[in-house]
Amino acid sequence: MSEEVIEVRDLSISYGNFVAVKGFSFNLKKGEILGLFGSHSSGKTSVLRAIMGLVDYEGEVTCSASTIGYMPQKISLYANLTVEENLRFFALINRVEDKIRDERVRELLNSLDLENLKTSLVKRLGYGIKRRLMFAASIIHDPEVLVLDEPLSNLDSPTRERIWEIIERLKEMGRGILLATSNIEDAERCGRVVLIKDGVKIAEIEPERVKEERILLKPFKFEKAMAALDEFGFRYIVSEDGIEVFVDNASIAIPDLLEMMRRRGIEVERTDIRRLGLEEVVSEILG
Amino acid sequence: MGFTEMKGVFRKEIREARRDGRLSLILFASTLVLLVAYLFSFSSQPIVAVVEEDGEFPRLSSLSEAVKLRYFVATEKEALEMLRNGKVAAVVCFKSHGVEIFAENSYTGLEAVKAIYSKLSEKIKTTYIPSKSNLSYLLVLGVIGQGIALLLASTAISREKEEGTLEMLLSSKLPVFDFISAKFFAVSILSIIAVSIGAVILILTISPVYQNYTYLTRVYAEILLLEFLVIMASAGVGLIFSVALSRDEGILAAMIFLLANVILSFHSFYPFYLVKNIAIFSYFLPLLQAKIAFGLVEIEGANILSNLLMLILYTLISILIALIIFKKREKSFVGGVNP
Repeated sequence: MSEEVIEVRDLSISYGNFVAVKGFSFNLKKGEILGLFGSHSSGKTSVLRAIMGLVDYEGEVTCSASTIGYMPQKISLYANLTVEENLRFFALINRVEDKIRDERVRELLNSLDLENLKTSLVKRLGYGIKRRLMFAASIIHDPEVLVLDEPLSNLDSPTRERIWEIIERLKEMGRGILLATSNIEDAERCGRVVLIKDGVKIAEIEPERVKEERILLKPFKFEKAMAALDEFGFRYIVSEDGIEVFVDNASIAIPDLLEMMRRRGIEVERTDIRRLGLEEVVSEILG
Repeated sequence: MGFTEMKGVFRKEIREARRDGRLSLILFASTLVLLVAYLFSFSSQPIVAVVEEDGEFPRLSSLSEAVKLRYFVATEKEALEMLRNGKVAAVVCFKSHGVEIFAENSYTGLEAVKAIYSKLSEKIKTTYIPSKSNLSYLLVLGVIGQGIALLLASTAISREKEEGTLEMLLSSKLPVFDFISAKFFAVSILSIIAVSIGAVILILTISPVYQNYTYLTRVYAEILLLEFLVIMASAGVGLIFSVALSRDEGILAAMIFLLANVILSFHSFYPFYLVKNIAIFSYFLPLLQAKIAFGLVEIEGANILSNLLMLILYTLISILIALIIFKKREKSFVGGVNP
């Protein structure tokens, strides 16, 4: 299940003089949900468009999947067609065979709660329904890889949950899913998250393992304490409250750290434990 | 190339067009314009040319009172040329052996002329000579058809680009050729339907009654074929605008192209006679090709094959250009900084 379906190496995208993405690399494996997290205009959409072959780029994009489903950020539906006609059209251009087309359309209308709206013209529908329909259109041909650009933005909770259920089901079926998002809650549900800022990859994290613990030290002599931490190879940052030392397990690490300080003759006024969630970690990394 | 995909895109286009209120309004308005244009073209008065052959002008003043007498020319050949070019509706020839009249059967002034020249009935030549005065109004069909085709085609792809659906299409398995071809056929067929409605109403209701129906059928068939080819050629040109420009720019370019066609094609104004250098370019305008062919359609036995081929070639080349531009610009359609 660790077979790579998309590999992006040293990807750079420019629009005229504006460099949107620079030296970006990552891979997507079968049966995983990979999040591409960044603020608006950070370059996420450009990366996805490069994968879909919609923009010129430098670098290497390899996709071993024979079918890819794509959901753009913007509403991309035919306003003068009905819900069902839109789905049928996207099924046709993605070469869904005639004999399974009807069944596939019916199945998606049901699973995304669109059955009652199938004869409604898209131009008369609300934003949330259009997003649901776009999601259905992107998976109508049961693609091996799914590339989703902000699929859940501005959606109500039940709709988000419904789409997440399908995404997770697709993951269980071994599909690779690349999901660009600026929402931390969505990123938290991904197996891995690539952080992007100003078109540059900042970090790659696993939300399950990223929940960090830190020991907050408040020594009387900051410089001496920092020199000791450097000597023992601790990673730390200096904040207003003191020195925050990154550790795997704070409860176990505190006695050792205090002992080390005592041996160096550094008195510590106070210690504390800080536990950080994904949001705090990400916002610290992205600044 | 997949026929199923092409058919699917075509059906989608027709469905969308059917539900587009603005488009329906344009089609309805253009049919109205067509009918008004036809009515005007039939309201013109017939004009008679008189040939002086032996200097005899019996009761000429009575003739000028009875009908609209406009020209005096020296030879029968010259007069018949005027009739053929639609400048006059009938020719009265005074000859040593009597008076002859050349006219279409639809010529309404015949009885008035007969009343003046009692012996005329024996000399009348009832040979049907179609004139441009009756055929040239059909060029209006071409203008309307060309306008509709240009308007539809010039926004066909830019609309998808601006509404975001092109992003979905380009990321699908749909070949570009199928996409462009389906757009072309949809635009052409919609425009042809719009023009055909007007043409059928015209032919069935207000068209003049001719004796020679076989001949008339050929004339109408050739004219409609020319109109349809003008529409198809214009659809091809419109697609080039749509691929290369934004929606608004495409509409503007289409209207300029239409205007150039109209100005250079209508017989009332021939600027290319004045500026010889642009004459050659005029022949690359679909409507002018049709206009040239119209001049031949009315002459029995004349061949319009070269004009038809020119329009077909024009259509194919314009689709090819649209395809090439599309392929070249494919990667820039959805690019740009994300808002």
